[in-house]
Amino acid sequence: MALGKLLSPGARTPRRLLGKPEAQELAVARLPWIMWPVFVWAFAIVLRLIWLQVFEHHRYQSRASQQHNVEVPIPPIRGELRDRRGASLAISMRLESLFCNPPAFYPDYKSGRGQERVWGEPNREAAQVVANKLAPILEIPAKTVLEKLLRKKPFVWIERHMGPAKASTIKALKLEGVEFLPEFKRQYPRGSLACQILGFTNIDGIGQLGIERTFNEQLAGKPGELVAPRDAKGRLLILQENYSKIPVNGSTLQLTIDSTIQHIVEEALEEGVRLSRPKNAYAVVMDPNTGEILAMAGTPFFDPNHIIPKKFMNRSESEWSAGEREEYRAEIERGKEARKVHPVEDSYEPGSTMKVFTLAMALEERKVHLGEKVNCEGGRWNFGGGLTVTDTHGHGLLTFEEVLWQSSNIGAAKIGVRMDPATHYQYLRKFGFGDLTGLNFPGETAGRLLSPDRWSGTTQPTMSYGYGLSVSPLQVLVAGCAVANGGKLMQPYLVQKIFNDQGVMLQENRPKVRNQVISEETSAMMREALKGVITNGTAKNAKLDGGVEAFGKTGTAWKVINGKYVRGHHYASFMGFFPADKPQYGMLFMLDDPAGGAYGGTVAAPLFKKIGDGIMRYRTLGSDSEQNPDLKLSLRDWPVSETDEAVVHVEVGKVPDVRNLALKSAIQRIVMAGGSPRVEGTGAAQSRAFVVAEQSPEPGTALEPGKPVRLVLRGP
Amino acid sequence: MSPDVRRPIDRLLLFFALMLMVVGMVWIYSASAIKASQNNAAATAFLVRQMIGGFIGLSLMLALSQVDLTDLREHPRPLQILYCVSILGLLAVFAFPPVNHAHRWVRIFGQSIQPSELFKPLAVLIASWWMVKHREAWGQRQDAIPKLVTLMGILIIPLGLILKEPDFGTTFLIVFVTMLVVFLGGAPRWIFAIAVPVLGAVGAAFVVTSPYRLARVTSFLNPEADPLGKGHQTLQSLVAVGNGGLLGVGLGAGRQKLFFLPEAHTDFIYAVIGEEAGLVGSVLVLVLFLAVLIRGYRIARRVRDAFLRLCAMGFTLLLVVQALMNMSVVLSLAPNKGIPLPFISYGSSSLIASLASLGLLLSISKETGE
Repeated sequence: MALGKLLSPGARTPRRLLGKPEAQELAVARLPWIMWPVFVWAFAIVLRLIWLQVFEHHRYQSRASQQHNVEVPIPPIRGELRDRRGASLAISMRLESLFCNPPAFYPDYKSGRGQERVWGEPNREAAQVVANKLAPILEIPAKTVLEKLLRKKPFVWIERHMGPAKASTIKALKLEGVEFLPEFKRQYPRGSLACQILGFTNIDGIGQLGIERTFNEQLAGKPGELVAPRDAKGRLLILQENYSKIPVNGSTLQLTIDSTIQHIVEEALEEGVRLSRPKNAYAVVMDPNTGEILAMAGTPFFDPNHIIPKKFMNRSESEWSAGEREEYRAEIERGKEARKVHPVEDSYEPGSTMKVFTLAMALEERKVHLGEKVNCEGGRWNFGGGLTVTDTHGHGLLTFEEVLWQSSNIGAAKIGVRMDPATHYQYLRKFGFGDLTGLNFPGETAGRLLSPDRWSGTTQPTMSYGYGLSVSPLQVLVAGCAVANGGKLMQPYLVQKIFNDQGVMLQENRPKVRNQVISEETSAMMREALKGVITNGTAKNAKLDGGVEAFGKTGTAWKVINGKYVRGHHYASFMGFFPADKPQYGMLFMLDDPAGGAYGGTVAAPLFKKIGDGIMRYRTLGSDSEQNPDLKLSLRDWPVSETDEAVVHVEVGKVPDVRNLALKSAIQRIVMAGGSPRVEGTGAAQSRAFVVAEQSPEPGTALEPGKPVRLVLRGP
Repeated sequence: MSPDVRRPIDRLLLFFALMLMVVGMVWIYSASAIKASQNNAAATAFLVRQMIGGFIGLSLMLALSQVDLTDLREHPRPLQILYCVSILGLLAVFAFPPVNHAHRWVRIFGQSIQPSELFKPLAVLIASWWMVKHREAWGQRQDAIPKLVTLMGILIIPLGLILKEPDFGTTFLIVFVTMLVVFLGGAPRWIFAIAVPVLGAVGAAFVVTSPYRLARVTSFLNPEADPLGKGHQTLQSLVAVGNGGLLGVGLGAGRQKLFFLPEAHTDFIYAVIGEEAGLVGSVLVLVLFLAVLIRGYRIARRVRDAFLRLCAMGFTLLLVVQALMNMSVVLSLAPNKGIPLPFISYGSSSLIASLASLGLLLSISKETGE
């Protein structure tokens, strides 16, 4: 009302006040004609404001938060792999990866999805300045950098996995349009040690083989997400840690592997390869009482630190061309083929080793007794059905034990056929043949075991001495352990404990009995009988030093090549257990096609002895495996911060001085400097040692590419 | 007729205008700090320049508030001189390199001056003077038309130059406010009945013949149609205002100014205010402009002299109509014309011109009528 009064002066009051109707009066009279529309206009603006800010507020708010915020993935730290005594086998190190944000160099850039983006003309000068500054630090031509800076993509990697020293140099330049993301690089401090078991990860940190692949989910953790504000050019403005999803770091796995035993085994394998030049050589060491795999190795060895070809390093998979992607896949496939874990992936006809199981079953079934004499027909026995069983050396009458010692095919076949085929088959199944062992390892084979209704007349006798079925080396060892440990078929396992990143134990794998295959008594009799293989039989080369009694069985199995048994090509193996009274180590050592057609007793048994002696020496000198040191895990003790002074002062290209440093810090510094560390195991002494005693090359010398920095550890 | 007694200046008007200026300083800093930093300048770079402009403007305002405009009635020489200077200035802009494809600035003594901004108050003075000088003519049809055509002739030279810059928004504003002054000055109504449709048709033809202007108009009608192209600015402005809600996201906390919203500290500063101060803040700014309108209206109504009355109303409308136009653009009620928000938008020429208009308005406020 007041407004109305104010606005209609011409109509009432002023006329009386001014009292003089003149031309100028007209202006006052016409004022409401203007004032009213202006107020209506202002009122429309108020209505529009209310409409936008009250009624449409939520729509615009969600639109705003959509364009203002970007979810930044925060990578979790991949869990460690440790051996049974806590020594690191695989660790993840935080490194910085440099990427650029090309829209920052396009002044007219407008964001959008895919084709919707508008790029406009780039600001070449600004990009050139950045490229010129980056090029000398990255040691790549400025042209290459410039091309990346101006690439019409919202995100381009420039260099991944950069050490903190280099990263902080670049950060200090405060360059426009380039930023860092933390990434984790997998490092295997023991180099090729246990490489097939551990496997490796690809550049994006996904496990490709072995434990890294099987337990990828637990190791990887869960990525978090940070909601970060960004500006219209896509630059991140991280003002506070506003997690929409908190990252969960990966779990750390404590393996059953003992790195010292693993080292002893790998050395023996190398020696075996040197001496008899087999196609492959591999060995598994297990604790027969628990099923824990203490060591598992096969040739050829590889270094999981250097898997990915250099050309694929600085880019993410999405930017590869189709050809490159194909090449990378082929590379990985080739790598996988070369990195086959033979003990679990190969299947073969077990040959002589099988006699142990045949005789153990027959003994359990009371079809034969110790000392019983079997006529071995002088080395040639016509079974009928077209099968003639032969022995390498002809024997007449052999006792039960002697059949094992001399590895007589005829003896084994004769004892085997005493059993009912169904019973025979049942025992084979109970020993685990034809089934996966439960190790849960990628590529594991179950072998091949026909059911009795598909057996021909000659199947049972040939199976008794190890042909007509195929098995994996691990199956044989697990079954052998059952014979040795009192008849229990154990489930083999590789992961003892799983800890979260705070050191809390999440899971503990305990020994699991799958079957009671044979009785304690039969097992004891078999142990006793098998001792003679080493003392009197085919494996005299396997006799251990220091009076340690062992028992075992040689195996020489014909290789099937193109569907035919080929003379002169076999698998030579030795499966042995020690100490004999209460076996703690069970081992299978195999050579695939050794030169000159050598037999298990001649080539595999000496290597068994070498490993066995090494383990017994380690046992008496070093820590007993019962000891369980404090494994308080903490990923935080790892020097990850780029402000860590010591790390920043590492000079790139020179061997850093890491003497008297903890192993982890030493590895970190060597990697920062651009080298690859290699921890030398020296038998037992290494087990408790965590401080670097010696290094080679000397500190301060130039790093040679491809040549590892060797570290020798000592006790703290 | 009451005796000619000088009053003190209208302090409320001054207060409202200064409030608007303070609001402007606050939000120029808020909207430009990051942009300035990105340009490797101090965060306060834009604020400091605006403060220098404000200082010059306030000095000019104080000086002009002491001027007695009644003298102009009999001695229009200063108007003629200023008119010639304006034309020279408007010609001079073409000698300088274009900024954002437009010749709007003249650089003297390291300071950028926008002659078109300074011409705004002068256009009001010229129109008012002309309307009062020839007030006898408005009664007769045969006299009115030549006089108005002459006025058009006087104004068409500078307006043509401004249009050539190109600066359609300022041209439109000056034409609009001048027409209001002509209307208030007593021009016969039938003239508007003819002039408004004719000017409308000319304007429409002008828009349609230029794809750039046509795009601006169509994008205003449907900003979502081309969210990244022509409709980008309009849409981002609406997102800013809409995101503000009732109380806003908080001073300095707005995100649209982070290069989502073009011209955040100049033509679209009202959107930043809308985002950061919400409905409450946006309406308060509008109310301040309406308060300026009401004070200006009071001054105009009270003053006895017809010339001063027209001037007072002209200056008031110049400030308020410009503000409403700017807000309408920000709220997508009108096509994007590129005119700043008086007292608030960054730009020292605009601020100086607004303060000069205010100074003259204040000088008129000292005159009494009753």
